[in-house]
Amino acid sequence: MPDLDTREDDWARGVFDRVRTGQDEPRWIPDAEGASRLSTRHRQRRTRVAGAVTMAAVIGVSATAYATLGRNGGDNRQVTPPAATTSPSSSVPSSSASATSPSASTPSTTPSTSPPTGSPTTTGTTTAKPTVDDASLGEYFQFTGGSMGGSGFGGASKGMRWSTDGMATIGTVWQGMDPTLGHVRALIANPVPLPLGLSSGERQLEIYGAGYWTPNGDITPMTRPTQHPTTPFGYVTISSTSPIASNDGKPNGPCGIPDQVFGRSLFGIPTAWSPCDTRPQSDGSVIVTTHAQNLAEGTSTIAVREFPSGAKVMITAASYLVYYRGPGGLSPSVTWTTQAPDYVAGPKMDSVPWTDDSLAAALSAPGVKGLP
Amino acid sequence: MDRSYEAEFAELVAAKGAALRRTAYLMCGDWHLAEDLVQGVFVKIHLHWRRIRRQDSFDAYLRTTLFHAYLDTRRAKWRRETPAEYLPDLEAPGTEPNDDRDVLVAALRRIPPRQRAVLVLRYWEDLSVEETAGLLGCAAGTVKSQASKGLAALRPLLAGTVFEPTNADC
Repeated sequence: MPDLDTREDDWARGVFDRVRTGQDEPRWIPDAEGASRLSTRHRQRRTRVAGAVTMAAVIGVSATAYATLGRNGGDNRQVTPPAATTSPSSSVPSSSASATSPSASTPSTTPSTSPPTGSPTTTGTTTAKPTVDDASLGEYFQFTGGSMGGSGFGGASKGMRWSTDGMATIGTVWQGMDPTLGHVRALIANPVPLPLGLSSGERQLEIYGAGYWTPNGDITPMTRPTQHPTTPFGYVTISSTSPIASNDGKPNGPCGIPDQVFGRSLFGIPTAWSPCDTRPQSDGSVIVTTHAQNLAEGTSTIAVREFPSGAKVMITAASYLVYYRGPGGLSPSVTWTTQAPDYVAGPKMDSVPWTDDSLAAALSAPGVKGLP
Repeated sequence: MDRSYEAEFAELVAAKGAALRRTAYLMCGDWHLAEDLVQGVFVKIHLHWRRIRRQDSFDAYLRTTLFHAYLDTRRAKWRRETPAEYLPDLEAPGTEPNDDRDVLVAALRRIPPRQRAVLVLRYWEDLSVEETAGLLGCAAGTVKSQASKGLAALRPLLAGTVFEPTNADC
């Protein structure tokens, strides 16, 4: 006699099979040309923004050099990594503009025109800082999110707008983790520029950015079907949750951290976690860090800053990437666990570029603010 | 993007559009929103066509993108509105579902969105527990429990319909 689960499965299949018909559906023809036009418009706008950013960066650097004003003391609306020490591994174009064009450094958008990843940059006279404005962060992280009270459909859906301060926080944390901005890349980037600035009465509840940590800014090995991945990739998420959204997840992760961010289970790995390291901050917030111990796949590190309001900013970083084994080969997954069948970990990163301390430092930057 | 790319893309849209819309409809219960979701998926796919087209797991990409688009819209609504468990009846008087699919969709709309998504992926898209977990980014156990809860919620909603006849109907 079939067990309960099997009977339930059979019943459900029967239910869905019964409606497996195209009869009586409203007529609809998907608009390929429309999609193409809209996509092209996104691309053109991105190119224009990239050009403007490049120009602004050149002007800014020149002005800074002449006026010897030192570091940019801005309002955290820009992510500005250290100058001149552009890593050879970063995908900074070697053009005369020298400032990084976000779109140009992403293989996805202009693969045929991008400079070879990992190519050395010019050692010319001017080495502008690679700069990414917050509206371009969607090139590097795949964002989802939620808001309420306004136009607010989430994610990359049309009509979605993003909190300017929230994105500034994501950018600041990223800069702390990846000072050259040369490693984190999105597999499926958001259309950029991200529409920043909420409409009147709208409230950002959650921003969740997921990116892959690449050795040198080149994500293309991940996109090639393979049975045996050889390039070590990591998986990084930076999220910011408002006090409302922070109450959503059950706090049954390590150190009382909610076990899910944006509906994704982060801690589905059976492992022991290091003792919680708690660091009070001067503004009353607290940073808690922990990392997985004795994890065969690699390392998993979590750092969360909780503000007195209950808002949280959290980093999760894994030094390995889990792949799903499908019929055509392995494809990148967004889960940490390899316990389920058909999930395998790729090669782990030889040298893990973050620690509990470095992630805590990234979260402790003055520009890191909780969502209201 | 050159002509061959465009032709390839148009072929994809023609081949996948209807099936994707059907899946989207089961998830969201609204043909217009389903069309918007699918169109949005195609914009996104086109934007990254050069990279994505090389993937063998292309169908999984389509499903993942669609699912996230759906979840995004659903999540924002959920934030603003009452939790799904307590949703009032959605049909206005006089607009009773008139075919099997509408009956099922009306019932699906009354269960929480993630459970609904799991049911659609498992039993409509015929994905395995592991494939569903991969797509949703959660553990297989979570998929099983969500599916179990979803079915438990769905059965009483379909009671007395062709899907779940009552004893008197048998």
